[in-house]
Amino acid sequence: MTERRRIHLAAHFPGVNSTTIWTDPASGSQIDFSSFEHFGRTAERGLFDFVFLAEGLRVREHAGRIHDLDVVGRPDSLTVLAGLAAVTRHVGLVATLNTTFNEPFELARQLLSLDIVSGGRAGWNVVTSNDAFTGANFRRGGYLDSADRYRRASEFADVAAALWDRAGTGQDTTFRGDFFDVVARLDAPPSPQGRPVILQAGVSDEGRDFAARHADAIFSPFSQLQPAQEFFADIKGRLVSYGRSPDDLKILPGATFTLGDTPEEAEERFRYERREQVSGATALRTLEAVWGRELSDFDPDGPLPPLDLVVQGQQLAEGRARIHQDQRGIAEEWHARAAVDDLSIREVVMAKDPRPRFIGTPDQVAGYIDEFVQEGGSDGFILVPTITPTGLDEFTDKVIPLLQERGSYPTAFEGETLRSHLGVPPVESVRGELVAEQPARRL
Amino acid sequence: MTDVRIVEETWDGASATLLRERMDAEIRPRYADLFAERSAPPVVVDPEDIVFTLVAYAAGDPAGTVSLKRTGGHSEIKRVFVDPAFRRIGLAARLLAAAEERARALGVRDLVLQTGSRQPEAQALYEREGWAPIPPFGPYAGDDEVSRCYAKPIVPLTLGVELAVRGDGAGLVADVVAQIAAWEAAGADFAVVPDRYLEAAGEVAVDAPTLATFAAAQTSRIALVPEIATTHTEPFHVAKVVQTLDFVSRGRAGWQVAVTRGAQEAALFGRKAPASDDALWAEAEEALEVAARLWDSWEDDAEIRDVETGRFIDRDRVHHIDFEGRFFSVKGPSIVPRSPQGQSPVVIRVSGDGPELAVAARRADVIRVAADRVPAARAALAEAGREAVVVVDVPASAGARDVLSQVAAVRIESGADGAVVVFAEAPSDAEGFASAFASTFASVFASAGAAASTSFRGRLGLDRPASRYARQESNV
Repeated sequence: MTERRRIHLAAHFPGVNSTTIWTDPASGSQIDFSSFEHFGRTAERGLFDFVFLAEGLRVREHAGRIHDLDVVGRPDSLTVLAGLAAVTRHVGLVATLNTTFNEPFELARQLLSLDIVSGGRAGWNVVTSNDAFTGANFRRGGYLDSADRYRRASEFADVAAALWDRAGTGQDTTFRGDFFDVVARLDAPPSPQGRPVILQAGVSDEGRDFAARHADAIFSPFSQLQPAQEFFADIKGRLVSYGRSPDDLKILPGATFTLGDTPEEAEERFRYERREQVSGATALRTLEAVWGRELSDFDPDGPLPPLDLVVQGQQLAEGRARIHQDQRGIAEEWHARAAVDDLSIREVVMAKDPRPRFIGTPDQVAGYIDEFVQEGGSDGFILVPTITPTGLDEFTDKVIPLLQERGSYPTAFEGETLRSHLGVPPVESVRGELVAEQPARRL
Repeated sequence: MTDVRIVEETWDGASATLLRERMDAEIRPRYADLFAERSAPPVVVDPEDIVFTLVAYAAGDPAGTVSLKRTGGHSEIKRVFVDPAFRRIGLAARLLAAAEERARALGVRDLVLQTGSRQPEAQALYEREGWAPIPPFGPYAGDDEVSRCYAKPIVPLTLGVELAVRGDGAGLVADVVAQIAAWEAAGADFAVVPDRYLEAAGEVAVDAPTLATFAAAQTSRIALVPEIATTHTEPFHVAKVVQTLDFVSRGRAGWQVAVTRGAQEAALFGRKAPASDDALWAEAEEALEVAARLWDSWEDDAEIRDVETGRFIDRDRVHHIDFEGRFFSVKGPSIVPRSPQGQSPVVIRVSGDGPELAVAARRADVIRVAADRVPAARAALAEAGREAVVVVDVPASAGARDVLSQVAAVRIESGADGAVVVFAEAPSDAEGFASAFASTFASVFASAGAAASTSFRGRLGLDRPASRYARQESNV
């Protein structure tokens, strides 16, 4: 029998997103530290590689007003993780942080500091942004062309890596690129894990190249086996061209889960969750983002608005990760979906579950996850429960032991650092040279 | 246990007079040679200056006495005496405690006293009871030969500590956390975690808010005040970092505002050239305005979780701040809901006559100055029409007892509201240093019942303000 591939799981804190159900009686605070403490301790009990925090640097808006139907309000990621470092011992701590609205010296120093206080458990999910909406909270405003997002991110990651590699040596890193012109050093102890772990989420060609060059793990959107296998093969192939081994980067799709004692119970629970996630108001708001106009006169339990009402190019939703490009195309698809089962507005939106989901008994869910990994779909998953902060408890108590029985999940933390949990060595430090040789170019 | 009763009598009362005569008979011979030399009469007490006199009776017999006297601007404990027949039963300590309690009820904040160099048993008593040695004060000034003077704050003074956060790397974080825990046990109000980006050769440090938050999750009473500069940072980020520290610490966050001078520091960020102090502090003041607005941008009751209408928040209670200044514009609102304190206290360290004094007077909740700058800080506050806690920096360059003495006397000597003990380097015995303070300050806090408030604002005597954006109650 061949050795089973080890499953890596991470725990995404359910905060500001449309998956989180705040109407459930079990729903607790999305902001009190006790919620993070509970979630972090559960993740640690479940031997999750890391706790994952998303980020949004501007409160979301819809049609010029603050979006009020989902959970709103979150802490500063690095700061709350510094608190979490004090009340956990093993679990990794990963923050999503934007390269557009931060500076390399400052962010590299903050991440290294989290790495030091946590004993080598820090990770950074590198994201980019170019929207002027978010920029309105920052000195530069919306200043970056979409095409330059990854170029800036790549220079940013280069500078950060060079600073980390020389931390505590007193050596300066001089970088003169298109986006940064710095002479910097980190007078801090070196990282206990060589370098903080880098995650990345983009799937464009540029995003994939960025990941193959810089990342230790990818937060992937591919949760259907075949496209996931293709993505997996593509990324692992690119690694080789950067002189890295396929195991040096872990691919972790995001997913949620719905458990029940029987398959029927799980299905019933799923229907309940979708109803709670998609109130009538949420259904109309979701539709407005596609139609590009106010639709408050429509009945969420009635039929979809006609296609000729779509205002192509009108963005009502601001500050969301997903912005609809082809609004008309999506509207047509929704009409087609509604026609099949004679669905109302709310039912169509409920049917469009935006997040991949495992539904079933603990045994079934353990099976889905295990098979996906064994068949080369991914190295594991980043799981986001629907309830804050206790949504991970049942999974930890019921599914984790079954994964362990299958022999594909660890029974203890074997190392001390996030790198050791993930099994990813620090990317070879060749970039110190590259950095020093960058010619002086300014925009 | 002997039945002891402590009662208030007059200075001229028969029991008090009798006990003082016994005291003179016991103590004077020790100084006979000195008095003969100086041919000066002992200081005569004018009964008009006596605030109160307490007499202890043991089984009905006069056993001990203590008085409180007005001496210039000081409240002086005078003529503490226990009859030899009633010693070693803790009577002197009980008399002192009773006098402290009575004085506190009269609104006295600090006590002083003078004893003599040839009364080692008295000196031992005062030190045991949390009194700190001070230089001879008032009428005793200059008399270093005979006078041994002490001070004791009897209502809490604001006590901060600025930690030493640099080292060679080994055990750095654990050392700082241990220092904070020791100062918490000593009753200190807040710990400043300094930050300056670059260190001397061979020394390392970490980001102050990260370290402060890591420590916050392991403590429960002391406030954590990271130093965060406004020069090269984003006001939006800084504001949410402080809010998050406030959530993690459950209301114990502060922010020491600083500016970053220097070309080397500017090159770390590569965003802008060094600027004048005036410009740096003008920018800092804008950052403070942005932070104050962002901290209020969510009203306290913004989160409604109204299942009926599907609304998680009432969006009329979450506000854009629309700040447009000389240095930056920030739209808002904060991504963080209103934190436990609402507005976390702002600490500004003022050196000399820099532009930060005026900014501090307009914006700070705690102003740190050198001992001789307290009047300047008060004057600036008066001009700004505000109040703030003014504290004096006391460098921890000497031993623990010496520093403790300076802190215990800070209110009476400089007119400040408290002190910040500043460690440039980690003391070899950080915990010993803090525990020297514990005997004085922990007892003051316990007796004054002030330890009940664990928010930083509460410790500073500040109420929790409503959001500036909260709608006024209408009269409709």
